[in-house]
Amino acid sequence: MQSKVYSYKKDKNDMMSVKGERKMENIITVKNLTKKYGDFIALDQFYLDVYKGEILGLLGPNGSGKSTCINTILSLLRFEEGSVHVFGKAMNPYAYDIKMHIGVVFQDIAVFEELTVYENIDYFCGLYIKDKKTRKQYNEDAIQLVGLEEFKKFKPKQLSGGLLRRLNIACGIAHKPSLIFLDEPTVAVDPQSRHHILEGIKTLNEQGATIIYTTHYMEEVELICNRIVIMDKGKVIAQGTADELKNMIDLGERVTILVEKQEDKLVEILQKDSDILKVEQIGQEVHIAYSTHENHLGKLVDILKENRIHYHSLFSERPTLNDVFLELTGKELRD
Amino acid sequence: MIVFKNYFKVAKPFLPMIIIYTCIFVAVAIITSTNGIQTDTVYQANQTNIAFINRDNDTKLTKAFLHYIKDNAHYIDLKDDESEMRDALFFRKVDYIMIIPKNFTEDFLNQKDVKIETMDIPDSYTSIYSKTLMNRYLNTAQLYLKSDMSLEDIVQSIQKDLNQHSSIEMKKGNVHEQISSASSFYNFSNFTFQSITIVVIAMVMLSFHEEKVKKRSLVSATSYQSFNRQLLLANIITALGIWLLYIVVSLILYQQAMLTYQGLLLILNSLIFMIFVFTLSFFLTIITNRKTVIDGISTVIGLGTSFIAGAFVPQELLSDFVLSMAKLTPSYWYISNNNEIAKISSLSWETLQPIMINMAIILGFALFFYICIQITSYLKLKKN
Repeated sequence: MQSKVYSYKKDKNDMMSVKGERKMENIITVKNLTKKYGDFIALDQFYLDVYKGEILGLLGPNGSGKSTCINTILSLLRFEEGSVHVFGKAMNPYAYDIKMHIGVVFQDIAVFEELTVYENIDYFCGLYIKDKKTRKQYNEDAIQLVGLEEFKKFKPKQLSGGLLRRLNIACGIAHKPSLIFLDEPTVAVDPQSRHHILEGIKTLNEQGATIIYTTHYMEEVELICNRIVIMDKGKVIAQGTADELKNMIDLGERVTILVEKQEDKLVEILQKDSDILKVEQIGQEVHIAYSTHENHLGKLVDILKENRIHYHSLFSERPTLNDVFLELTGKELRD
Repeated sequence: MIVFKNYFKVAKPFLPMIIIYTCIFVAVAIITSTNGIQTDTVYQANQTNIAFINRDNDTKLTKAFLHYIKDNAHYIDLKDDESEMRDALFFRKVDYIMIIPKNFTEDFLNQKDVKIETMDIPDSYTSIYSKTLMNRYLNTAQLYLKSDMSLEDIVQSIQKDLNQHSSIEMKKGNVHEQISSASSFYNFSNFTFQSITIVVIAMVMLSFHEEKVKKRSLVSATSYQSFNRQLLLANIITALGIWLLYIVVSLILYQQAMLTYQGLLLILNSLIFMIFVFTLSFFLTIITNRKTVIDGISTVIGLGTSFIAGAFVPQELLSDFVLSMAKLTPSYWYISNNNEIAKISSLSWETLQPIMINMAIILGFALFFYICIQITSYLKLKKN
């Protein structure tokens, strides 16, 4: 395991050069951040760069430090070591000029039970925007973005879980911030609301907002994020685009063959292939892990024909972010 | 001022409950404070039930005496039968029975020691009043007898004398009585001020201090100081609103008394007490975020201090031990002050001094809780 983390560090330097080529403006710069809860180290020499206009996915299992990272960047939590700069200025609890341009959607629903949907959005928007006329327009835009037009006069307790999540997002982004933190906004949300939320995030990004999106749903990250930072135990263990991350690991392609019976001969033949990292038969399925990214299906079909091995089907898969996480940490993202 | 405005929006759904609470409390306060107030505006002498048993002959003296009794009391006709007389007394048909002995007139005119036998209800004010009525007639008669007048003249003179009555006019709305009632009203407000203010302020503040909502406010562009200032202002206005409601009610109920210097002192005293209640309410919302805890505390403080400090039961009836416990609460000093204010007969430094000292003690409690708020807030901030 140690050797794999070390080999990643070499790759990280390569990625640094990739970032350098992009020459993008840094919105957030976090250096050597350490946050402790007693003896427990929640963030360990954590570093992060967020570039203007990107959707950065902060991916990690529960308890990996994603929320602590966001709370620390927002100065909601003190930290022991390191530095946090947002928009080029040092972040602190009194940096209201910085906060003016930040929107936060927390994991938990944070609204007033006594107010209607519109009143809630208006209040939280009012914490940033003083002008009534502007605020009114912003409120309408936010309501439209999350699709709550029909529920303006509803009280939060009258809304479903998905609609509440949308209200929570609207309250966080109504003031049109240029930097948005979204902390697991799709947890326990129905597919329709999830779709609405993800589309809304894309729209916000298209409108120019930089977004930091934390989740443990790798599909969402792959779908909307330009760049991904994988965290574990308060540390960054990998970062890059989805493809860059997948290329970082040894696994290039995974092929599964559904056979009729135990095929020891096939396993024996495939084990001789230097491109194959691992081959094993589990029941009627033969799992083959290739180290290279090229398509191996044609070559495999030839082998099966040559050796007169009967099979029902075979299919190929690209490595997932879970494979990346598994290879780097030895555990699943959803452990 | 978005936080300030939002405070009242959040408080709006609680308004019906606040009104119901206030109405119940005010109604109870009015009933308690108006209980026992003299409302008669016309004077009428009390008349007792007197039976007149004459064992003497029907002389001019006995006839005139009977006439006097009939004029000044309810005359009850009873037979000269001891058991009937006892029954009449037992069943409160009569309050007093006069039995005129044989030869009463003759003995009286001869200036012998005459004794009228009487039967009455023991230890009742009616029998004492009836006895006074009887003695007044006999004493007047004896005075005229000593001046050697004829029986006819004596009877006429007695009738003339005893028919003279002073006219009594009742003054409308006795100010002193109103001050006493207003004092009771303000004593009762110890309970209502504390219960309503703590519950109302705490309920709204809990919504703002709800951890997730507060977190959202903390990351916003509105400064923490501005946020707290706006909340503080809204709370002050709420507390003043509740206080004003009571002042208006007291002004309506005890108009004459409240416009005297005593009334104004009662208002000042209640304002100072409200400052304490406000700081206490604010402190409670800082140390807990549970509605049930706030509800419990407001009930315990409101009812507890009202019982031990003399809001419901006069302080004179409470034991020394209870009062010494009560002295540890501002309610005791507030209620003592109300009682003290009601007793003032003239405005001077001597009469005002103890009242000012009591007010200073209440302010001292308010200052104590203000310091507690500052320390708790600082410790909480440091913890984060």
